[in-house]
Amino acid sequence: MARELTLRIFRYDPLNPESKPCFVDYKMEETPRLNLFVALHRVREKQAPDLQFDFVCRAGVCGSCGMMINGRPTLACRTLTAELPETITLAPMPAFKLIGDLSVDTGTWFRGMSERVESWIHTQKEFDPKAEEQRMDDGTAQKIYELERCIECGCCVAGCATANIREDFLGATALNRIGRFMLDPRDERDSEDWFELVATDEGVFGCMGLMGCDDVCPKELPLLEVFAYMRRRMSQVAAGRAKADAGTSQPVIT
Amino acid sequence: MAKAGPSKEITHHEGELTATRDRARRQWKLDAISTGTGVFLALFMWGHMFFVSSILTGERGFNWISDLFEHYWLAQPTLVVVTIVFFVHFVTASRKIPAKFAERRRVKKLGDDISHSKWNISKQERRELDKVRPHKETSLWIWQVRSGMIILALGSVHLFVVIADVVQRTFDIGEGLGINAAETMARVQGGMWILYAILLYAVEVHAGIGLYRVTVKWGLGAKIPIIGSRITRGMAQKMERIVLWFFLIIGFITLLVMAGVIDPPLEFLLPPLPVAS
Amino acid sequence: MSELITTDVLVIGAGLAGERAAISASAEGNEVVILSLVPPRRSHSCAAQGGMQAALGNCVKGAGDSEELHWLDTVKGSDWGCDQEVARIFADTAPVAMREMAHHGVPWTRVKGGPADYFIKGKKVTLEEPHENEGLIMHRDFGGVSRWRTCYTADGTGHTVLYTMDNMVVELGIAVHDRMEAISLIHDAGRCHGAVVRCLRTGELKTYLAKATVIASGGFGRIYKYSTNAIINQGSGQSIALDTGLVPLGNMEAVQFHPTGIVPTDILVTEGCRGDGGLLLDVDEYRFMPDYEPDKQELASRDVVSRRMTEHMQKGKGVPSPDGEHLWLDLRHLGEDHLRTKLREVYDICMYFLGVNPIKELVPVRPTQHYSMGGIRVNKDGHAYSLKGLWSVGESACWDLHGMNRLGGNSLAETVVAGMFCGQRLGEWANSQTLEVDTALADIALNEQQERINALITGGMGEANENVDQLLNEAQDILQAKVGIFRKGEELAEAVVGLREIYQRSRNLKMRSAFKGANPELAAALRLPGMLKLALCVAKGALLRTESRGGHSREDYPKRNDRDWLKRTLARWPVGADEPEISYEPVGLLESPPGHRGYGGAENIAMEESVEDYNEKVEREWIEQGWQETATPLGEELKEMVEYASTKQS
Repeated sequence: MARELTLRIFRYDPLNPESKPCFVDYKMEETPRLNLFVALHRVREKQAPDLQFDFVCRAGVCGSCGMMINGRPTLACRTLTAELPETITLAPMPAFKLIGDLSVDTGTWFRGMSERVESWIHTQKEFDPKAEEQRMDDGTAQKIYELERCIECGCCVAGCATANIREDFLGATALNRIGRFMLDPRDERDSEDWFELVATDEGVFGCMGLMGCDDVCPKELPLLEVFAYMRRRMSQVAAGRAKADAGTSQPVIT
Repeated sequence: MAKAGPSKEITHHEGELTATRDRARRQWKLDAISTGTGVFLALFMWGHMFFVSSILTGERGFNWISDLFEHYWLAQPTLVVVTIVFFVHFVTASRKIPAKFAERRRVKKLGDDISHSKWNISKQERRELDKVRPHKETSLWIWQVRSGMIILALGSVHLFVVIADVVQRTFDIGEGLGINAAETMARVQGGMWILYAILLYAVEVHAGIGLYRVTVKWGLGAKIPIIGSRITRGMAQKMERIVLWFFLIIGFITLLVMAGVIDPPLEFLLPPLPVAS
Repeated sequence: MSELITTDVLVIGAGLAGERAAISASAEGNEVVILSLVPPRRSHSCAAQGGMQAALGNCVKGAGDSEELHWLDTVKGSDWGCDQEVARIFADTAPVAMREMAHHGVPWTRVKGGPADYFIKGKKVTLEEPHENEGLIMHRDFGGVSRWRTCYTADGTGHTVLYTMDNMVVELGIAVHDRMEAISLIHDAGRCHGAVVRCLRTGELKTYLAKATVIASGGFGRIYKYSTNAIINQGSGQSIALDTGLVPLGNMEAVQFHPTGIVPTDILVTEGCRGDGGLLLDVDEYRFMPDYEPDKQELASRDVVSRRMTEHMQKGKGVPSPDGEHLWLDLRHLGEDHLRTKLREVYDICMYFLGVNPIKELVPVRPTQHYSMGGIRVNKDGHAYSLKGLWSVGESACWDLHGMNRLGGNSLAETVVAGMFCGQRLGEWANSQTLEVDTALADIALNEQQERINALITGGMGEANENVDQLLNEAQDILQAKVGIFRKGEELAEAVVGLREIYQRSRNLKMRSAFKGANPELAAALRLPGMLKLALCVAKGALLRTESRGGHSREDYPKRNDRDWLKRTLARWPVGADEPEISYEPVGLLESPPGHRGYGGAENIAMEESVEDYNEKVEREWIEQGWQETATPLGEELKEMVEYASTKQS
C-alpha cells in the first residue's frame, strides 16, 4: 500500500516584499525507491512551478542539494522517502544566505572560505613542464584524498552550533581544508603560518565540541580527528615546541 | 601568512601580524586553560571521591585520612589551589556558553533536530550508521552546562563549609574538629544529603562528559602509549560510560553510608577501636 | 538601467575546461570573468570518476607508452572521425597537463613499487611494479587503449582536479560570477562582443562585453530522457551559439552511450570498474563480452561495448525488471578493500541509490546517454567557425579529437588540455584586440531578451497554452526511443518531424507561475527552444548520415563508409528557420588512413580517393565553412605531415 506523503516545504522569496516565510504542504503518492530529487521535481512539475531548490549531479557528489530534512542537514538527492515518516519537513540550511525557498547561497560562502584559508598549494617552486612530477608516497596521496573528498555541501556548517551563532566561525569544512594542506608535502606553509588563523575563536578553539559536523557529514570525513590533530599541533606551536615542518606531510590522520 | 603564490603579495604590516598572532595566542591560552583546569578538577574529584569513600571502611578510616591530610599540611594548600582552579575553570569554560538566550535556544533546537531526526530507523543501513555515529552530543553538552551551573552554586557552598572546617581546625578557632566523620555524617543526616546528592550527581556527570569531550577534542587519532592503537570516538564513549557509572555507584554508596541509611560495607577491614585517642 | 560589465575575456562555464582556459587567458595578461550556472565546484566535471588519459607510462602495464600510441588509440577510438592534428596536440600536451595538475595539488594515486594484484580479462594476476617509478603517477586500464594510461585519484578524479583547478582560480583572483546564465550572444558583423546574462538569484538581466567570449558549458545530455549527465547539462552554451545563425555545430549525431549507467537512477559508475577488472554478466550470470570481443572483452571502446550489450539484451539475455531490462556489473571479486578505497564513490552510489552492496551483490547496469562528441565547431585553436571572438573548449566544443566516439578518460583530459592550449591561444588573440564597448549594441541585445521574457510572462501572442515540462518530456521521449544506440532511417525521419512539431509548439509556451524573479519555470522556458534545436540537430544529422561510425550506428547502413562519409556534419540554424541546415566538411588531414579498429568488427566501405587528394581539399573546404586562421599553419602539429611537407618542398 503506497503511502501518501506530505512534503512540508519552507517557502519564502526574500526579493518579493509581499512574500512571508511559511511552510506549505504538498501531497503526493509515494512510489518505489522515490528519493527527494524526484519528489521535489514532481512538486515543481505538478504543483509549484516556481519552487526554488538546487540539484546538479543528483548522484551525491556535487554537494548542491544540502537542505534540512526533518531538521537534519543532509543531501536530498540520496535521501529515499522510505527512510522518512509520512510528513517530511524541508527547510533551507541555516548559516547561509537564503536565495529563495530551499535554495541557499553556498557559492559565495565557499569562495570566501577558500580565500580566507588561502586554499591553494603555497610553493616557491615553479612548474617545469619538462620535468618529471614531484614524487609522492601513495599512502600520503591517499591520506590527502581522504580529506579532499569534501564536496562543500555545507551540511557541517548548517549542523554546527558555533557556525549557527557566529558568522565569522571558519566551520568544519574550512578546518578540514586546512588539514588537507597541512598534510600535503607540496605546500610550504608550516604550523607557525597556520597559527593565527587556526588557533583562534574563529578557528578550532571556537569549536564547542558538539560534533554536529561529524554526525551529519554525508561523506563521513574524519573531521574530529583533524580538529584534534590541529589542537595538539597548535599547542605545540604556542609552547614553542613545533619543529619547522614546511613542505612535509603531517600525520593528521591514519 | 606564508609566501603566497607568485600572483599575490603579502600585504600584512608587521604590527598587524603581531597583533593577530597575539590574539590567536590569547585565545589558544584561554581554551588550553579551561581544558587544563577541567582535567585537573576532574582528576582531583576522582581522588577526592576515593578519599571520601574511605567512609566505606567506617569512621576510623575516614578520620585517619582526613587527620593525615590536615596534620601534614596537605589539605590546606590543596584547598586553596582547588578553590582558585575551580573559579578559573568557571571563568574560562563559560566563555564557550553562548551569551544570548536566543543563541542557546538555537543550539538546543539544532541538537534536538539532529539527534531525534524523526527518521525511520527501519532500514538496516540506517541502523548500522546510527550505531557508529549517534548524535547525543548536543544534549550532553547542554547537560554539561547545566551541571556546571549547579556545581558553581552548590560547590561554592560545599567549599565554604570545608574551608570553614579546615580553618577552624588549623588555627584552632572555636570548637571545630576539622573534617571528621562524625561531624560530616551529622551534617549529612541533618539535611545536607540533598545538597550532596545533587552535587555528587552533577560533578560526576560534568566530569565524565568533560573528560570525554576533552578526549575527543584533543586526543582523537593520537597513539596511546604502550598499547599502540589510536584513540577513537567509540573508545572515548566507552571509557566515559565506565568511569561515570563507577564513580556514581561508589559515590552514592558513600552518601548512603554518610546518611546512615546503610552500615559501612567494608568496616571489617578496619574495625572501630574501642577508644579514640 | 541594467548593469553592463566589461572584461577582456568572458568565460561561460566554470567546469574544468572553462576554468583552465580562464587561467591560461589570465596568464597572458587578460582580465577574465567566469560565468557559471552553479557554484564552480558543483560543475559536472566534479562527477567524473575514472580518470584522465595521458601517456606517462609509469606502471608496468603502461611501460613503453608514448604520445604516439595515445594518439593512435584516440584516432581508432574515433573511428577515424576525428581531426588527427587536434588528437596530436591533445596526446602531446596531456602528460604536461597531468604533471601541472600534480604540481598544483591533485593527489593522484601513485605507483607503489613491488608486487601488486590486478584483475585482467577476468583473471587475477600478480605483477611487479617498477621500484624506480615509485611515487610517480599511477595508471589504470580503460576501454580501447593499448597501454594502461589513465591517471586517477581513486574514483574521484574529476572532483580532485576540479577542486585543484578552482583553487588556482581563487589564487589568481579570477572573478567567478555564479548562478548566472548566458541567454544570448551579443554579435555584430561576424564579431562576437559578449553575452546577455540572466542572474539566477534575482532574475535580472545584465550585459557582459568582452574581446573574447569562451563557451565551456559542457554537454547537452539532458535532451535525452535517460542520461548520466547532471541536470544542468542542457546545452545552453551550444544553443546560444546556434542562435547566432552563423556558428555551426559539428557532428551532433555523435552521441555516446556509456555501458554502465545504473538502473533505475541512471547514475554513472565509472569505466574504471571494468578497467580494474569488473565484468559484465547477463541474465544467466554468464560473461558474454568475450564471445563478441575476444580481444578487448569488457574493455573495447564505449560505443562497441554499449552496442554489444544492447545486442545481447535484444537476444533475450537481459535481466527483466520493473525499470526495464538491464545487465549486471560484477565487482564482487575485486574485494572490499578495493571497493572501499579505489572505487569508493561507486560503492557509495550503489549503497545509497540502489541499496545494493557491490561487495556481495551484482550491480544493475545498462547503456545510458553519457557524452556529446559534437558541439560548437572550432578550429585547432578553439576559435569558432564564422564568428570572430567566439571560442569554445571542452565538451561544448567540437575541437574534434573524439570524432564519432571518444575513449573513456579522454574527455576529462581534454578539458584540461584544451583549456591550457586553446586558453593560451585565445589569450594571445585577445591581446591583439581592443575592447569595443558598444552600449547601443548591448542595449539592443538586452532588450531583445527582455521582450522574450516579457512575452513568456504575459503569455505571448495568440493562444499560448503549452507547458514547458510537457514539451520537454515529449522531446526527450522521442530522442530516447528513436535516436538511441541503434538507429533506423524511418524512425529518425519520424523523430525529425516530431521534434520540429514540438519546436513549433514551443512558441506558444504559457507560464503557470507569475513570479518574476529567479523563477525556475522561466529559466526552463528560456532554455527549452535551445534544447529542442539541439535535439533537431542530433536527429537530422543522424538521419542524413547513412553509415555507421563510432557512436552513430544505423541498422539500415551497418557499414562504416569511408568512401562517402569520411566527413564531419555541420549544422547551422538560420535565424527564424524551423530546422537546421546541414552541410559537411572533411574530418581533417589524414596522417593515419582509415583502417580496422581492432574491436567492433564491422565491415567497411573503403576510401576511393587517395589520402593525398583527400588532404589536399581539407583547407579549402574548411575555409568555405567558415574556418578561421590558426596560430600555426594547418598540419603543423602532425608529425608525418610535417615530414611530408618538407620532403615535398625540397
